[in-house]
Amino acid sequence: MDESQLLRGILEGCVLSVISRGETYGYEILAHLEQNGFESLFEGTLYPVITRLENKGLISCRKEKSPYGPIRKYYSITALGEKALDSFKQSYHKISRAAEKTLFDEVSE
Amino acid sequence: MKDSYLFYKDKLQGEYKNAFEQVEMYVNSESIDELTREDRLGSLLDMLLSAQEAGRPVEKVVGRNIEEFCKMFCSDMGIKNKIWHAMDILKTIAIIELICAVLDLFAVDWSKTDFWSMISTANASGYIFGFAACALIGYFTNFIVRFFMFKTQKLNMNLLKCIVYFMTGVSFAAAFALLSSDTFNFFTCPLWAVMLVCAIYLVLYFILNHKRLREKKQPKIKFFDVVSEQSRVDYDSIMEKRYNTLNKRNLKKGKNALSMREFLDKEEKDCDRNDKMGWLFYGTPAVLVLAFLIDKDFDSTFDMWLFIVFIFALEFAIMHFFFKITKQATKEKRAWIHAKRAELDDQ
Repeated sequence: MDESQLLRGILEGCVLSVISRGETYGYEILAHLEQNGFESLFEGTLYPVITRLENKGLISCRKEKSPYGPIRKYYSITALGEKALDSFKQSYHKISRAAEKTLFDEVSE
Repeated sequence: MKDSYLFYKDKLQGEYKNAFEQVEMYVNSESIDELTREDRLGSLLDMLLSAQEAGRPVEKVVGRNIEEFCKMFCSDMGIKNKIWHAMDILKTIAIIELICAVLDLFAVDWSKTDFWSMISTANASGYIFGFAACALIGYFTNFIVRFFMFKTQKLNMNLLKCIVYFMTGVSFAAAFALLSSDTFNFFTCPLWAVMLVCAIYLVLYFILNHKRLREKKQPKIKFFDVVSEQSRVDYDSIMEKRYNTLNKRNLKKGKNALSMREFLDKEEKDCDRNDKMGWLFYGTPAVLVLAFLIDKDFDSTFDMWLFIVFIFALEFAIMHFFFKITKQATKEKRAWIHAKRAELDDQ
C-alpha cells in the first residue's frame, strides 16, 4: 500500500506540532521531521501543507532576511492553530489505538 | 530591494544550482504573478542554501524526482495567480493606452471637433488580437519548455532559456505587427470610451489588489538594483591589477613606482572627479535635443513641443540611469579605498 496516502493524512498535524514548539522556518521544519523519522519528505511536499495551514489561519508568518540573503518566512502557531492541534492529537490518538488494535492484536474467537 | 532571490542565486553551486534553475524555469512557465513567484523561489533558495551549508544532499530539499517536485511546488498556485498575472499585464496596457488617449486630446484641432465626437487613434481590435497572440505564444512557449525540461534530460538549460527569449521576442513582434496593421483595424472607438474603460479598469485593479500591492512594495525588484548588482565587481583583484599596470607603465617611462597609499590617493581624486560629472550626464540631453531641432520641420508648434518634451524625457531617463550606475560604482570604489587605507593603517 502506498505510504504517501498515510502520510498525507497526518502531515498537516505533524507540521503544526513542530511549529507549535516555537517560531521556525521551512528548512528547520524539514530537518525536524526527518530527525523524527519522516525520511521521504521534501520541500515540495511541505510547501503546500504550510500554505494550507496559513490559509486556514492556523499559523502566522513573518518575513525576515535570512543569513544567506533571501527573505525567509518564519512561522508560528496561532490560537486557532493550538485548538486545531489539540483536536488533531485527540483524533489521532483515537484512530491510532483502533488501527493498532485491528492490525496487530490476535484475532479472538 | 536587494532581498530579491535574484541577488543570491549565484551562491548556489553544482547540483543545488541545477535544481534551482530547473524549478525556476518551471515556475516562470506557470505564468504566475511576480509576488508569488518571488515568494516561492526566495523560500526555495533559502532552503537550498541552508542544505548546501549543512552539506545535506539536494534530494533532501527537492526529492529524487525534480519533475514531481516542480508539480507539487506549484500545485496550489491555482487560477487565482494566473488571473493576477493577466491583470498585472492588462494594467500596464491600460496605463499606456490612457496616456496615449490623453496625448490625443492635445493633438486635436478643437475647432473642427468636440470631446464626444473624437475617435481614438488606438487600434482597439489590434490590441485585442495582439494580446491574444501574445497569450497564445506565451502558453505555447510554456508548454514547450515544460515538455522539454523533463522529457529530454540532456537538453541544456541555456538552450531552453534561449528558446524562451526568442519566443518572447516573437510574441512582442506579433503583438506590434497586429497593433499597427490596418488589416486588423476592424472598428474604431470613441476616445471618451477608451479613456473610460482604461480608467475603470485601473480603479478596479487598485481596489482589488491594494493588499497585494502593499506586500509587493517589499520585494519589488528595481531594474537599477538588478543591473548594479550584476555589474558589481571584485575590486580587490581589479585594483591590484590596475596598481601593477600603472607602476609598470611608470617604470617604463622612468618615473618612480607609486606606493599603495599614493595609488589610493590618486584613485580617490578620480572618484572626486566622477562625482562632479553630473553636469555632463544631465547636460547631454539638452544638447542632443537642440541638435535634433536644427534640421527638423514640424507641422505645428504643439508637435515641436511634444517632440522636445518626449525626446528630452527619454534621454534624461537614460542619462539618469547611467549616472546612477556611475555614482554607485564610484561609491563602492570609494568604500574599497577607505577599507584598504584602514588595512594599511593597521599594518
